[in-house]
Order: sequence, then structure tokens, then C-alpha cells
Amino acid sequence: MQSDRIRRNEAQMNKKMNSCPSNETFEKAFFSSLTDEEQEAFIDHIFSCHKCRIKFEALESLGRQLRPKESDFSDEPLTNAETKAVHKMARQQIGEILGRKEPSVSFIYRYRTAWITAACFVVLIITGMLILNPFSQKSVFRDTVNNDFRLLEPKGILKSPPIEFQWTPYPNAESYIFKLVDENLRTVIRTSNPAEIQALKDDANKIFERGKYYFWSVEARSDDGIVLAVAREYFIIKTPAP
Amino acid sequence: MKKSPIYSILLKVKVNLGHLLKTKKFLDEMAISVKNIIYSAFPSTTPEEREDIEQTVKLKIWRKISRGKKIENLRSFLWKIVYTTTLDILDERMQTIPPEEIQERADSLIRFQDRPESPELLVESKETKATLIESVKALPARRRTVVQLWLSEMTLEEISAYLGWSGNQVRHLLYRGIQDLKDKVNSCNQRPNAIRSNPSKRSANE
Repeated sequence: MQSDRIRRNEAQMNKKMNSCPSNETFEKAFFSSLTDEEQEAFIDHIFSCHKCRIKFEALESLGRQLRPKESDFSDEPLTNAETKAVHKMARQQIGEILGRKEPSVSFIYRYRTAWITAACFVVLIITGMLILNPFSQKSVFRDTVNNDFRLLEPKGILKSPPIEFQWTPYPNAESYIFKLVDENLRTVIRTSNPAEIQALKDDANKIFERGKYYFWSVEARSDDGIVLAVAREYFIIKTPAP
Repeated sequence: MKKSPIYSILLKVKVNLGHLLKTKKFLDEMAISVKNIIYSAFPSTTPEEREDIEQTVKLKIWRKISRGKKIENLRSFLWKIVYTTTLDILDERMQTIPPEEIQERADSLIRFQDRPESPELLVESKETKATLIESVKALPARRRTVVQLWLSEMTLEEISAYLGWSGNQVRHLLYRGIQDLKDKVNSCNQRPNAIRSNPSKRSANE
């Protein structure tokens, strides 16, 4: 049983010796915080590994040079004020080395609630803008709806079938695509027109049926064929009283 | 007369002036020591790199301190900073240095007899060295630890301080270890003077 344990220990030691000890282990070794077994494994490794031997020698040599000066420092804990002063001195030294003023850590911490609130506020505003943005609604129609471009008539409930369709002119529009569809979404008329009016032929009145809805739209287009604006309207022709 | 920044801090919080000034002085000296140690470890370091190292060491030290929490024990806190910073810098440097240079430097840290001049003696010395290293590995644990540290250029006093063992204990273990090694080397018909035979005399000389 005992020989098994010794063998296991030896195997563990060998495993430890094969991989380089962490920097933490180095620190522990120099603070005498390693157990005897760990210390032996550590020294064994140092003796066989080039890199670790250099590190060990560097720390040892550093200790040799600085140890005479450590008596300047007592083991008594620093007060809060002293700790703060040391931290502040460190920040000033960083600033001197970098040639600029190091941002104060206490400043960042002191206003962290304000920073978080401000960040949340900005996120909320951006989200709201994205939701309420009129441009995002336009994408539903896949084209540009412009309030300046309006269809004048016909619209709403009509007593008789319309004979012409009118809309407001749109700046830089070279042509207007007029489209009339019935309530079954069948295209009844589709024309391209340079003017802001579309007149129907006399026999065109025959296409309307009373009591049915009709929808019409006009697209204002540039000379390149780009859609500048779109407007839509509907009407229904009243059924005469019996 | 312009007041130093440290003095202005002290005016705001009543602190022990000695702590701050000594801490700064200690860390400045530490940065110079690290620079010198790295230079002696890797002599191929250029003067510009040496300046960089000193700046980097200082910056790392102060950054670690500025991030620190309440300092319970200034002495061990400073040692921790010294060790971690040095190890960080060494890790960074060793990544940029060819393995041959690292090996050469590491070999020079083990005390063996001076390098022989003739090729025959060089071969013989290498064989002796190999036998010696194998023999060290075969020593009992405590003797091995002391012998390895001694071979790593540490004096008896330093070994004693590092391990926290008494001077007599360390001396005894070292003599016994060296005697074992000599026996082993002699039995292998190697040169018995491969290692220096009187550690106490050398330790005193050093």
C-alpha cells in the first residue's frame, strides 16, 4: 500500500515537473508558500528547464538587490487614506510616463449610475426613432408616399360614374402612371400620362358598376422612370334608390 | 517654489509621508533592477529596448498598483507587484528571443568548471556534465533540492533564506550531496573535479 502511494506521488511529481510552473507558483515559491513536495518538484523543474531557470535566477537576483531595502516598509496595514494616496500616486505616475493625465478611476466609479442611465436613455431614444420613423413605414408599400402629392377626385361616394381623374402636380415629375383597379383587384385601366388629369372615354363609363368599390393610384415618375411619389384613393358609385 | 504632486496629495489626506516616498523610491529602483537583470540575461538587448523595458516595467507596476484594492501589508504587496511584473516582462522578452540564446543563458547559470579549451576536453566535459545532471536527479529529495539551488549559482546563505532552513542544515545537506555526486562521478571514471569541491570557501569568497 505504502509503495503504491509513493509511486503515485512520484508520478504526480513527474507530471508537475514536465509542465512549466505558472507565474503564480513562482510567486508562491518566493513567498515560501509551497509545500515541501511542491518545492522539490519546482526546484527539479527549474534545474531541467531553460526558460524557468532564467526566470528563477531573475527573481532571485532581484530579491538579492532589493531585499536590503525592504526593511524600510513595515508589515502594518495601511489606512484607507494611505491606500488611496498610494493609488492616486500610481495614477499620477502613469500620467507622467504617458505624458498625459490619466483618467481618474474614482471619477468613473463615482458617476457610474449616471453613465448607465444616460446609456439606457440613448438606447431608448434610438429604439423609439427606429420604430416611429416614417421611412420604416414607407417600406410597407415598397415605394414613396408623399403627403405633398394628393389625388383630388373622384373619391368617396359618387352619385354617377366619374369621367375624369385629377391630382396635384408633383415637382420634377415627367409622367404619371395612372392605374384603376376594381374591388377584385383586377386592373381596369393603366395609362401613362404627362398631365395631372386623366379623362376617360365615353364608353369607359360602361366599365363601372354601381355599388362596387374602385381603387385608383397615381405614380409620379422622373424622366429616368424613378418613382418620385405615389398616392392612392378609392370611390364607390352610389346605387340609385328604387 | 513649485510643490511636487506627491506633496499636494499629502496635503489633502493626512498620510505617512515615509510610506509614499519609500514606495516610489523602491519601485523606481525595482524598475532599474529589472532592466539590468534583463540586460544581463539577454545581452543582445539594444539600448533602445532597455529604455523601453524600464518604461514598460514602471508602467506595469503603477497600473497594477492603481487597480489595487486596500493594501493590507505594503511590504508583501510591493513584493507581489515586483514578482508579477518581472515575470510578465520576462515572458514577453522570451517570446522574442531565439531558443538557442535562452539555452545558452540558462546553461551559464549552472556552475560547472570553466569551459575546456581543447575539443577532447570539451567532449569530456559535456559527458561529465550529463553524468552529473543524472546523478543530481538520483539524489535524495532534500539533498537534491539544496544541490540544485547551489548549482544554480546560489550561495549557502541564499539557499538557507530561500528554503527557510537553518544554515547548518543547508551546509550539511550540500556537503553530503556533493560527496554523493563525487562518488558517482568517480565510479563512472569521469573527472572527479568536474564540480568545485569546496562550496563554503566559494560562498565566503562570493
